[in-house]
Amino acid sequence: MRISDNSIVADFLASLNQSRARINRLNRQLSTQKRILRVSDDPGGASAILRLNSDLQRVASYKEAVSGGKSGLKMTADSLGRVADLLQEVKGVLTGATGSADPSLLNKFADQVDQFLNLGVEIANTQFDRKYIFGGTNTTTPPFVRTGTPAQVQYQGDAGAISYQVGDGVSQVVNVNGLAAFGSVGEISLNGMLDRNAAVNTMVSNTVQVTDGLGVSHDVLITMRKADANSWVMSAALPPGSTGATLSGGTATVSFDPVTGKPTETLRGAPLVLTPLATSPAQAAPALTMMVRAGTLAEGVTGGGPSTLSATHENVSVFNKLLELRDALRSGNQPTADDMAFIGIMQDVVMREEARAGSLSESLTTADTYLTAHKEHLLDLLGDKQDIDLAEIGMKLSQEQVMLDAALSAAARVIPRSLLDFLK
Amino acid sequence: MSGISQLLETARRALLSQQYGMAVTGHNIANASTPGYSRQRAEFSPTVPMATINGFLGTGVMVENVSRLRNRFVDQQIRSSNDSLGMANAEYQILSQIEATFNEPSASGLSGAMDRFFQAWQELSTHPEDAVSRNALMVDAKAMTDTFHRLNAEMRTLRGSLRDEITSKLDRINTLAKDIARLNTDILAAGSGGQNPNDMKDLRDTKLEELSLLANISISEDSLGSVNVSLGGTVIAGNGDFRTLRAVPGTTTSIAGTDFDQLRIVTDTSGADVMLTGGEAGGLLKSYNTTIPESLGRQDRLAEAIISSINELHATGYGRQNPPRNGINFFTGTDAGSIAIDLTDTSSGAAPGTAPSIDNIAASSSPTAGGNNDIALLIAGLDKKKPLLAAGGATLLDGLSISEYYNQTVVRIGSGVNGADTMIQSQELVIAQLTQQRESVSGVSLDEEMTNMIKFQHSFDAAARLVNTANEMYQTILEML
Repeated sequence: MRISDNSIVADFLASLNQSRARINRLNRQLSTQKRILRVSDDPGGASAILRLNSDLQRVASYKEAVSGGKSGLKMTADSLGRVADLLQEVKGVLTGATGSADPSLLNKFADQVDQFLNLGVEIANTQFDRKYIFGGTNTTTPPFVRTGTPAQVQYQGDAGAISYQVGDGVSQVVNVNGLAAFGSVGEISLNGMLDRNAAVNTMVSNTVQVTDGLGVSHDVLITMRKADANSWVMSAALPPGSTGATLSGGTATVSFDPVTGKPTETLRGAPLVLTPLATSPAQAAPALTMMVRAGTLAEGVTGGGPSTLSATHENVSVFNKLLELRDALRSGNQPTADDMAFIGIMQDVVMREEARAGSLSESLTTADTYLTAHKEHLLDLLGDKQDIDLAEIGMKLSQEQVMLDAALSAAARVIPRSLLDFLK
Repeated sequence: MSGISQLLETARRALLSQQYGMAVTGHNIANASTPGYSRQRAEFSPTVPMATINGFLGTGVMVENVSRLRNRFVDQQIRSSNDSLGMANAEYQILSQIEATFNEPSASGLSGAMDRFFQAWQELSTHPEDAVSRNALMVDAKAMTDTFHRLNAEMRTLRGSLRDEITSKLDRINTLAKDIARLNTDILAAGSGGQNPNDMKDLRDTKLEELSLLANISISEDSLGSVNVSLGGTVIAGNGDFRTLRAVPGTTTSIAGTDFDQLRIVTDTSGADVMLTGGEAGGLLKSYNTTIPESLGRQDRLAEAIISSINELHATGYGRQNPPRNGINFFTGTDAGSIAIDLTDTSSGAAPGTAPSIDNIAASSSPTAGGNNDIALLIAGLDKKKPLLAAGGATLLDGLSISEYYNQTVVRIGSGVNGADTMIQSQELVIAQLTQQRESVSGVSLDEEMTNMIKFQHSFDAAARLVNTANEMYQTILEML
């Protein structure tokens, strides 16, 4: 085959350009440390990089939500812990006041309760990260406000749950609302006359309407069964066929004084807990913990008539209970065992919500652990797709350089040579 | 009968022929680097012999003609590969520019802007009542709409500039067709005078080759040596005739859901459509009529899906106005060119987008709960949601999610660049091989020409010696007298 001078030059230039293009590409990869600089370098890989980057951003925002949620829940748990401690202090004050008839002393106790009340309301109105943490989804206004005459502490928030997205399709509640923590305690007062002469196992029942935190009424059937002489057992149940709530606890035995017919102690036992079923996840009424009081219930002779039983229900927030106790102490009234028990129940509820905040925070920690692992995994994948193998690129580059040198050197020898060099 | 004078005549013919040969070699050497030049060869043949009683006696040499060494089959193959190479080159150039406009994968591409926008909704969901998160969302939304506008404007500018480029390519095609038609006439005229117009043929071949890079031409040569060039079935150059092409507006066509004006190529005389489907001009036309509109249309669909799906959710939510209101759109506009932040309470008569306020961002599904984040969470999840449905229930974005649809758009362009690049590389290889083949026939080898030069020089020297010898023979005879 004839080889013309032009074809030698054209061939050399073509391979020189190709070699330089390869070296240029390797150099760019080396200097940017990235394997894919344009989508066309590897369309499939570039698509994966776009997807992985977007996943990473999302994981980062989930992690941020987790971290924000955890801080908020920690603040919530701490605040609830402080209120529980306050209630413990209140119990101490009440114990001190019990048995004291000195009005000035009682007044001092009232002042102490008032201080605890102020502190409690202040804690319940805690702002964290620019939001009121106990207002449900109403985070922009203080949830607990003193209003009316005489002043009552009113809850202005809602029962809303705030959910953060902490994973694809995974959301997690990150708040405890003030209604659940401080406003979900109530009392049922029983009234009526039980027949002292009734036969054992005689039962009397009546329905009490219990209103939950969202204002929905639930019927609760209260039954008194004669167990023994001067002793009745109370039990509570939801009427057959009722829906919308579950009920637990509430069985208690009460003894009546055979002479006066008055109960020898307040009906206590386990508090009744009514848990309304959520109609909307964002607005679920908190479980209502109720103490059952004997009220004006008495045992006596009904003159052959049947026993009578009626009951009333009232919700009392922690702060209004403290207001009531303060005013009672100011008026010279000593606290009752019921009051002590009531504060105890409230403390239990606050602690229950504190534990709930803790367990929510714990779930977030689990989510965070998963997100961290997921992020590492995504970064690994991204590295695989995006990062260069330094050793490989370095090797290829030196190989290309050697080839280029060889081509240049060969061309330098061949191109200038012609027959002319040898003609005399 | 042969005589000394015949000897001198033979020597004279040899001298002239070798001199001619030397001139052809000189022409070859002079044009060794001329693009498109085909090596020429002086074709020597013996002159008519003289009949003597001893038989035929040679009378010397003559140059019969100067031939052009050219392989037409290889030329045809090169022109056919040029068509594909030109098309791939044009597509590569345009797709690379589109790819550069998308600027992926990088933080400044639309992918990053959309990610940040949806992330801002996610962040708003953790602080729905907060002005800081709302401001951040506004900034990210503005960055995303700006990126849409930039992409849209850059691609539309690119498309606009293509119209000029197509016109200038057509001008070049027209000039080449005209030149080829004129060369046809000249070559025929020269040929009819018994001449062999090698250099004119080289020039015509060069122009044909340039034309084959510009458009999908086919060439036929008639018996007289005139070539007819047709483009997509329309003859554009013949013997002295040529047709001028121009680009005119075609029917507006919907591509990826958006209407685009089209360009069609017609002949100036009849106005008939010319099927320009190859070469650089064909590649540019395809980019103008199909490739760029498709990319623009897909951006429009993406923007449209973002606008409609976000507005649908946003209008149901409440902002932090006093009192909180719903029914406010987040975006206004209908496509990538018009997408803009709305967030304007239009109930008071204000036009959409004229008074955007962060208070009008609806994160909450409740008018009373400022901390409610239902809407923010739903919108934050939209980028991965599929299928997205239009208000009438039609599936948007071919059933893909926003991020999937965008990735597909970008990957299509990247694959296009990749495909065009592969095509260029393979066609260049084919053409390099074919050129090598052509060079082996038509290319000038200086070594070969040097050898020929020495050969002609020696032949010339020998012929001169013959004259000398004949002269001495005359002298000898004259001295005898």
